[in-house]
Amino acid sequence: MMRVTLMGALLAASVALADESAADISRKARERGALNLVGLTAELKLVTTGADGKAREQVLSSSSRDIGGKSHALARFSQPAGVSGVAVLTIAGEQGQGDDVALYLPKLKRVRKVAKSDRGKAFMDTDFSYADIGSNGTRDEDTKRLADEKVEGRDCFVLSGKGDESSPYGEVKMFVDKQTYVPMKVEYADKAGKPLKRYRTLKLKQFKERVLAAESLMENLQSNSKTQMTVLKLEDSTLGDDAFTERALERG
Amino acid sequence: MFKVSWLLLLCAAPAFAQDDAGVDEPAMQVEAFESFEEVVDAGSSLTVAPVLEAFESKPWQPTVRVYGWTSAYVALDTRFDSPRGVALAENVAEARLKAVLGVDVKLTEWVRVVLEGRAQVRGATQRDFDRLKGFFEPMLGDAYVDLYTSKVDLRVGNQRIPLGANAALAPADALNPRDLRESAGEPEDALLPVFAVRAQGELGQLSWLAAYVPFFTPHRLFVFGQDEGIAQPAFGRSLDNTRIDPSVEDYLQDRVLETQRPAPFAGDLALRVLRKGRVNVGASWVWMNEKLARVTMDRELAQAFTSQAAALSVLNRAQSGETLYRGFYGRQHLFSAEGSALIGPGQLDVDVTYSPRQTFYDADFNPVDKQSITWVASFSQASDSPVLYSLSYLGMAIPDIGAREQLMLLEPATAAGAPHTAFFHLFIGFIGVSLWDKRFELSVRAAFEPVQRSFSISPRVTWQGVEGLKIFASAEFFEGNPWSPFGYFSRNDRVLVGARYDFF
Repeated sequence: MMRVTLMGALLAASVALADESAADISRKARERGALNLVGLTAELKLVTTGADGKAREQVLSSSSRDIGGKSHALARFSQPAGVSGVAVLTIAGEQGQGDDVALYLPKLKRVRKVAKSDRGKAFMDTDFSYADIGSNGTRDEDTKRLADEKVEGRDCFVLSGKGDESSPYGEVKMFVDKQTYVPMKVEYADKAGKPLKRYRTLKLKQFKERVLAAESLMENLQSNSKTQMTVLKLEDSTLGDDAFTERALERG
Repeated sequence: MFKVSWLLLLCAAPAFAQDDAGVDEPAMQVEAFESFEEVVDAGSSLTVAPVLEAFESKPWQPTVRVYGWTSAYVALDTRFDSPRGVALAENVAEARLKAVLGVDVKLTEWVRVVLEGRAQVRGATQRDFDRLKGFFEPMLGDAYVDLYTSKVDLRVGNQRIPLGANAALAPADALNPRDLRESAGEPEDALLPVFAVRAQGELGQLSWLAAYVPFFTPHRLFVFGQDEGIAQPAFGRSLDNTRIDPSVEDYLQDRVLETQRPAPFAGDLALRVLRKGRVNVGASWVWMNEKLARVTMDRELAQAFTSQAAALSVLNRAQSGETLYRGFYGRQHLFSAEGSALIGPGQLDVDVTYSPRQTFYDADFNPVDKQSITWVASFSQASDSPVLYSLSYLGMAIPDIGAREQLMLLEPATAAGAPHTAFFHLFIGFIGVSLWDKRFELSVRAAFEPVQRSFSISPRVTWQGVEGLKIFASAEFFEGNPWSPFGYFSRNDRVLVGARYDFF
């Protein structure tokens, strides 16, 4: 009896460890993901090319911070002129509730909320969605590990997760670099299981003791548009908790 | 610390070199964000960044953002109703050019300075180029210094202070005067910045705002001589504006209604508290000077333009020191509650405001003091969609209206006859569709006032084929009886063509 109990406990512990490991990888990958730069402030350039080949450029600064166990991501646009001063605050929501997205519109001098139904839609007319800003489309704890693979010649953990009700994605497959925890590739399927988007890291760069995606590409496989993101500048964030509030969105 | 990291990286590099030994294509290299001297470890294919001082974050540097836009339109009346030389004749053509240029400097994470200049040029003419007139108006736009702390954000200077939940219609949003000479722009374009001290912060789930506007600034409006003027032909006392030279007409208007302004520092106060959550709920109190002059005009003075006898009598009375005309700004409390929530793809905003005393005008343009309750509910788009929409309902109840009283523009003549409560209802809707990757937009803005069945409608086509440039063509139509809110302006139907360019 004791042997059975001990084995059961060991099995449970090993399963828990495996789950924790996948969740941990997912969390670390999220922190180095597309627009979520915990503890850093980055200046980013987004070039979106539509199916017709026309390119549109946007420049924004992005910061991220963990407050009370929730990821808070802040993005401020400086170009083009039409969106200059627009700021977006994304606060990770509870399980199944979706992120809380607030938008500051300088023309109105007011903060407006983004509808839950819209969080899978394009973030400021790019191929990134609002959901991509604060998360990778799934919950860390629901992520499973698959067999490891190589991407761009680098060893990667492979994780698979399902999007919750608030996510625009049905299934997400993520290839995470073992050395740096940077997601090298992410494949997103829609709720019907049809390939929707593909994220790829094009260039890695090091900042202090961290390595991040300096250039990446998000392709929408259904609309044939793509957005290339380049990190123009990176520095340690000096922003406090108060900078990640709706009040601070107007700070410019 | 740097040395340890450097050693770790050196140790890691050969390990990866070994892993990649059997791979034909080289692994993606890691570069450094800052410029640095590349160091390649012997036996390693991985280029690593030496952990040197170059990796340190750069010290804070001030950021400067210059912004600006210009817009222009020309408008042509669709009906040349009034012949040359008649009193209060309408303008049949108008051109406007507006420009804004600003600089936004963030000196540190905690201090920011914004300075913005605005200017507009307007020209208008009546039929047959009669009374051709115009003005150039420079003004200070947003111009403030911000101080940010973890508890409180302080802003001092010329600014916009939004109150209430509804962006365009919240009755509590009364600290900023409006430019009532605007009819073709967006509603928010009509709000003028005022010098104020504003503090805002958070206490747990509550956010709070306190504002003080020390110096009085009234609404900007045309009294006569322009299509947006408050003295239209339906106005009981027609004004013969042909006797006033057009070259000075525009410069008289700002102060023509007032004889007294509030003293400096006897300004406006506002407090607002908002609890944020799935549903934002809040309350506010505003104690302010009304922004429209409360005008009391002697009955004989009103006739002086048309009657020589009345003019002589008025002259005699004026010479004997009688006060024939008085225009001052009444003081008003606004107690408001507000709420907003996401509902499906849109946002619902609700405001309710009670004022114990507000100035209205009766049918003879005599001011009357009444209490009032105003409520606004708007459902507007909160999602990215090719279909653009918003719907607002504004209601107003003004109790204790006397049997002989009829509130100008707010209620029909049939309302008089018995003591009553005046009700005013207004629906404002906007619907548009965005086509061809948002380069082309078709939209209609409409307002309907059901009691007197007056309405306005404004279709618009906008093209945005070049980044920053918008070209539009639109029309404005007003219909209703001459004493209804929209019928009052019904001779001013027009078509417009214009453009806006955001150049920074």
